[in-house]
Amino acid sequence: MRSTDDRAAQDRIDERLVDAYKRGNSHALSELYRHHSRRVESVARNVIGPSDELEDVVQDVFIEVQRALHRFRGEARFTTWLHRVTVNVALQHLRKGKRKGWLRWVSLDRVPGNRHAVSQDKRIEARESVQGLYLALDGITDKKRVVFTLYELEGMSLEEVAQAVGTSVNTVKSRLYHARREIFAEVKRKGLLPTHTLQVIK
Amino acid sequence: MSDTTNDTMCPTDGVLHNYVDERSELSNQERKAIDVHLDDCAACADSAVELRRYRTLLLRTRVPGLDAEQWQVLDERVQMMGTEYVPPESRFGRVYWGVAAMAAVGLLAAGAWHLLNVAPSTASDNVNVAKAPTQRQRTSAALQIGAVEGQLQVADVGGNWQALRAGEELRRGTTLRVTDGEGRLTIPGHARLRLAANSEARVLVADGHSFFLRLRTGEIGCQVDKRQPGQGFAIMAGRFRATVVGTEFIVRHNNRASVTVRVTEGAVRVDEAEAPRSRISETTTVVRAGNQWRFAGGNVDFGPIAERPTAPAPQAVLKVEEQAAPAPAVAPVAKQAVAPRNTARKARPAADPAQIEGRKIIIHIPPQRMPDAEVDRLKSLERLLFGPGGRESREQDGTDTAPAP
Repeated sequence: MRSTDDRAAQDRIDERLVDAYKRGNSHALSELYRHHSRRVESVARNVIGPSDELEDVVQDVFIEVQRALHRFRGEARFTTWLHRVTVNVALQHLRKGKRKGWLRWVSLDRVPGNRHAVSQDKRIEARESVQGLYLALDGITDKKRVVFTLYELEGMSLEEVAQAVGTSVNTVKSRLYHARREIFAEVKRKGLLPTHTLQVIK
Repeated sequence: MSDTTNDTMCPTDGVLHNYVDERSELSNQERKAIDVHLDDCAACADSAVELRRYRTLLLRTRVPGLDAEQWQVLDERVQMMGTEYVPPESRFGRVYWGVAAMAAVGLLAAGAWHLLNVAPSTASDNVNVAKAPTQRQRTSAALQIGAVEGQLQVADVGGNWQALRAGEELRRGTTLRVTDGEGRLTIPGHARLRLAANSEARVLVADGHSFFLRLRTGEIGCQVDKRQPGQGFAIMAGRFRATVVGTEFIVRHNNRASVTVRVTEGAVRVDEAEAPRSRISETTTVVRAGNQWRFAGGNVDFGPIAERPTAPAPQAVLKVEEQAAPAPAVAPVAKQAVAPRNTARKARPAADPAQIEGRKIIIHIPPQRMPDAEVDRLKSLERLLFGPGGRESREQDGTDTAPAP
């Protein structure tokens, strides 16, 4: 499978870069940043939610990587380790805030609508639905929300989520189950489910 | 299977959630069993339809990420934080500091109060990254303007233009413009700027560490103060970004049609700020004094400033060529200085061995006037790409001979 080959090639590159960094090559960390900054940003934004501090979180992740890379032994994939660091740094940011929750930084006015909606009505409906989902996400615990967003929005597998949050797959399944039920119930209660369905081939 | 669904028992919520999730671990057999059940059970079929709508909502939900401008600023911030290796704190180090701490306690007991001010450093203290201001600090930070000359205007909160005066503050989001004549201003600790007529620029970062400006249109001349480690100065224009390595340069942005960077003193790094993360290094060019870099009509031209013909300064060029291609003759520096069009785009990611296989990499490092830091950077890149033996093997090819000065 091509994706498996790509992944293996990326792993080899990461391995070389980490080794180079450990040997004192400062250029290697820049390369790791170039290869992984998009992914880090994506994971971080799904953990912390819409935020003006995303820039800080991504920078903090690479500060942490710089400090802790010598402890990475290569037993797991570098990306797995990086996801773990990202989730931890993002959760620290969440815990530092006075107001908890997903929507602590921005107002609902800034929630993006659906760019692909054809009519104004559809756009408004889509925007309200997304706002409802954001509010529902805001109302559940950090643990459940992180698992939910990493799986449902970031598209990680159950195993990847488990590794990123440092727990077992069964715990992830359990948290995901509860998060899904709570969010679905909330969205349904508010009557925000879309009127149509999309069939997605993955 | 028996605990989840069968012909007589409705599937649980969790199973239905998994059923509508294409990535779930449900087997084909389990899915078929649920399909059969849904044909007979209207309540479950309705639930499944609702859950599909719910998944539709999830699929179109996206958390907003960084925009292009924020990526530019983040790239600069990461560049500035330094990427030096942070060695692990050794066991000896820990024992040493443990003993030192005990000694310090003893001294404290003895009343040596002045030793209280001596804090032992740790490995992580050597990282200058932590000193970089955070986003919140940057947002609230401001720089007081020194002297102002000419017709410089600044937009207030309501978007009205007012004359800029000395002593006012520049902060993130401040927009400056010059409509007639030219305007000059001094930003203490950073630079003296000159905006030509019909120029407009917006401040991206303005604090003690860094000054980043986006030139929307027009021309800006910069005379930059000597940079300290960790200090940054950059002008963004269109897709490109000029970062100070040296001291004096001009960026001209012709309303998205072209971007020109002329360097009159020192050196400036130019790259494509909106390139994908993995391609930034490919698009980087260092423009040295007496040279100009110009992007127009989709092409990049690079060479001596036309008005001031001077001997071209040595350039470092990283080229990737097909293995099958004949080894190129060693080109004189002057020819290399005029970069082939889209050379940067043809290059491959520097540290990607998978893409390097079957190709030959040539790094020209002219021996004269190349700053030590630049030489170190290129050597480090070379080591990263080839390992310790790589250079010798290329020298045997005879393709890596640096041109005579």
